[in-house]
Amino acid sequence: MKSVLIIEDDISVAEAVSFVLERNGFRTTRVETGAAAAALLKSQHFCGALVDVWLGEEDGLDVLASLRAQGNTLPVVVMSGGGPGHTLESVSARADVLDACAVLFKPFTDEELLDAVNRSCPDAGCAAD
Amino acid sequence: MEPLNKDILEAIDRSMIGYAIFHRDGRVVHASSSARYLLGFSPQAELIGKRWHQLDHDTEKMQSLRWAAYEDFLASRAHWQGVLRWVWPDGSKRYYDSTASYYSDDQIVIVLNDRTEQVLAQRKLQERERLISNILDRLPLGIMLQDRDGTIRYINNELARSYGVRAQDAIGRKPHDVPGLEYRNHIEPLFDEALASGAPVTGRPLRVNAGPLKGTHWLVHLYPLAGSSGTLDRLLTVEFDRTDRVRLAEEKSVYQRKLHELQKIEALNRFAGGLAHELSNILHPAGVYARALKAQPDQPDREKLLERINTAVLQAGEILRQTLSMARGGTSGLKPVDLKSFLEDLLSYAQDVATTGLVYHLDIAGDDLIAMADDVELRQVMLNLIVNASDAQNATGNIFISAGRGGIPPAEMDIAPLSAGPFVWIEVQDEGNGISAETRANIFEPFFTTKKRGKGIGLGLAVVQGMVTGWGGIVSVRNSAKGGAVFRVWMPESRAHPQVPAVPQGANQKDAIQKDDGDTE
Repeated sequence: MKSVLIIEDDISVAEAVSFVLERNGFRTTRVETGAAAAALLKSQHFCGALVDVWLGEEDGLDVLASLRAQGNTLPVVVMSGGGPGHTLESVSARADVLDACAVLFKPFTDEELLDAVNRSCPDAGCAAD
Repeated sequence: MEPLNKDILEAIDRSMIGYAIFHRDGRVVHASSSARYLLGFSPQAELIGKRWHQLDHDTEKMQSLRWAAYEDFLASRAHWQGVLRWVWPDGSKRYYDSTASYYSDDQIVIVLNDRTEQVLAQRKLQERERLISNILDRLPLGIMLQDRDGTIRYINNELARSYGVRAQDAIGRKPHDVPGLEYRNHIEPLFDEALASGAPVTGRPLRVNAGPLKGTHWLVHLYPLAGSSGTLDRLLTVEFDRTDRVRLAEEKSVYQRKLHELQKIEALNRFAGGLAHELSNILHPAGVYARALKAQPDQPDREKLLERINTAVLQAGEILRQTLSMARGGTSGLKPVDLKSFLEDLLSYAQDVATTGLVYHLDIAGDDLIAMADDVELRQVMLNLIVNASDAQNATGNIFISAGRGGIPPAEMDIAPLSAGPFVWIEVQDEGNGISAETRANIFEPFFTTKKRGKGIGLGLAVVQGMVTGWGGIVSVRNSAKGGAVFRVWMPESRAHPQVPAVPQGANQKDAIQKDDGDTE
């Protein structure tokens, strides 16, 4: 079973994303902060991750940037719902630079979510450890 | 020439008017005892036969100049009268009113009257006048002294220069007789006022509308001065050019208005971003669960999913409701609000609905604290702050509410109040754990909250700040010495009083009586 990490501080959104993915054959793990994600990625294998742009005090794109800076090549899908200083264009451009697989703008459909996650985790052999 | 009686000569000499006789060639023939004394010699000093002009301790150059003047006198054969400068052995200078005249064909008599004290005093006076004049000329303000009839007795360089005239051309004349100074007629009403009242006219701002100083701003002070007879006979005018300051203030107010506009736009941008984020987070799960229910209506956790959709709709509704109340900010309903009666009324209501264990304390410093605010909005502002305070201490303990006037809002805030003050304020202080510096920096941002979802959506303080800045005020926050949070609502002070007392009906006798009158009519 493919394992996906959801980095989202808004519990109701995390639950909803998890709800769709789990009903479609993924295993999900939810964390609320960049630090928790980084810690988990050191000890656990994931096929891919979903990261929210506005993580309360943190910027999800900064979290992604710091993962990339550490050499982490995990496929990542960025979720955005706007927020101060986050226009749709600026999020897309920066996500692209940070080698994100896709950007999803909330509210997105289940198909969009599954398509993005499947594209980012194409390797059928990428299973949870 | 009638010969002088020797006794008379001695009497004159005793009164310290000395005389000496010398030969045409300058050699001393006789010196009276006063002359010896005045010239710095003892009664026994050998003077006879010595040339008079070399007897003092002045420089050789001065002595030769003295000799040249003496030769001129000899050649003219007329009387000479003037001041003789003499240097004593100790180097001090003496000045004598002197006369020189022929005593006989080849003898000269010189009479000496000591004027040293007077000459020195006069020099000191002149020096003092020069010093004062130097200071007055260098001051960056205009100074003029005039007689009652307007005749200029003194004008300093600064003022003369401002009008393009020279001080020496103006002194002794009236302003409208001096080309350039005729443009000073804007001062005349003040001049007449000071003369008529005999009292100083101070701090009058004047804008010059004609002449070389057109468009400049001055602050004018006029002081009537009494002469030696005690009557008012002079008028001193002191004028400050404050054009730069006035222009700076004008620019500042334009700049402040622009800044306020920018702040509003920036706040709107932040608000739009926050609103988008918040609503998308609420709507997204609702969509997920609605689609799941549509695809499979008989889900096992059907009730739970429906409840989540319902919760999302309610949350979105709450955000819209508060957004509307925020949009109402930028109020037009400003009027004087008496903070004392407002707070007493508000707290009697708040205490009624408060949970048991929560006590409000009211402390109002002085009467007549009148704010220029929207009382309906102020009520909402206060209820928001009181609810926050109550939440910060789990709805128990004390909440301290105080009101006062004065002070200025802290400068380190992101936004500045539109009003320059003076301010009156209301403070709400809780017994909670206070607010960290990081949180304080963001606390008025829309959608910023430290509460869990469902408890607050982070619009309360943004609404409060929006309303208060709409009145020209601001809300600041700090931690008290005891650690709790202190919110202060700064409002522009109103000079006018409320037209209708904000006290609820029947709260004082006078109202009740007026009401009775109304009923009987």
